[in-house]
Amino acid sequence: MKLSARNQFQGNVTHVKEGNVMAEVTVKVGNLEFVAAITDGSVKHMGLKPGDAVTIAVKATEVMVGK
Amino acid sequence: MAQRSRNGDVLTAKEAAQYLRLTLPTFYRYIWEGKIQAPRIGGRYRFKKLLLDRWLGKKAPGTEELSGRNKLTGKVVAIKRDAIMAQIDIDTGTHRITAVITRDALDELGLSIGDMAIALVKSTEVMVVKD
Repeated sequence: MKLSARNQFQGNVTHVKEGNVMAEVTVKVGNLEFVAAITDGSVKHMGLKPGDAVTIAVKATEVMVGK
Repeated sequence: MAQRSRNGDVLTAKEAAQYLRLTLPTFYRYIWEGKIQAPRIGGRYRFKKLLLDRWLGKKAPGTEELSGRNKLTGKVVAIKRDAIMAQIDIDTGTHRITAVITRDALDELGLSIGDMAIALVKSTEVMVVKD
């Protein structure tokens, strides 16, 4: 699947913390770590677990810049 | 040793003056003039280094009080702008992240190429794609 998101990073899932509604997925991308809050339904549907190879995608308009 | 470095976050008046490169009398004058906030603990002045930094107007990257989970510090390597929006590329050393912010926000930040900047993303905006 091709995504228009300007920011795409390949990494591996390190943690999946599941709640009732939301889940927190931690992904290690090189020396960086991303945290994604996605629905628990998505985690179940994708069968996400630690070690999975995933791509992190963030639309450029969702990135804030601080100085 | 670890204890000592932790103590370094709180400074005495003398240490704070040294840190700000002021003489002790000048430093005390600034306190009396209300230019520096000076909390006292048991009659003695104690200064949080973080507050002094804030007073100097410099914020150490990543110490801002913001709830965003994903903070990537890097150098601004490219800026593309039009009348309304601006595209900023930040290089973290290993990765490049692109931000699109309004032109007004860019001008307010006064960002230019080579500046250190932080890219911040709320975790609910991060998508996970399984390959």
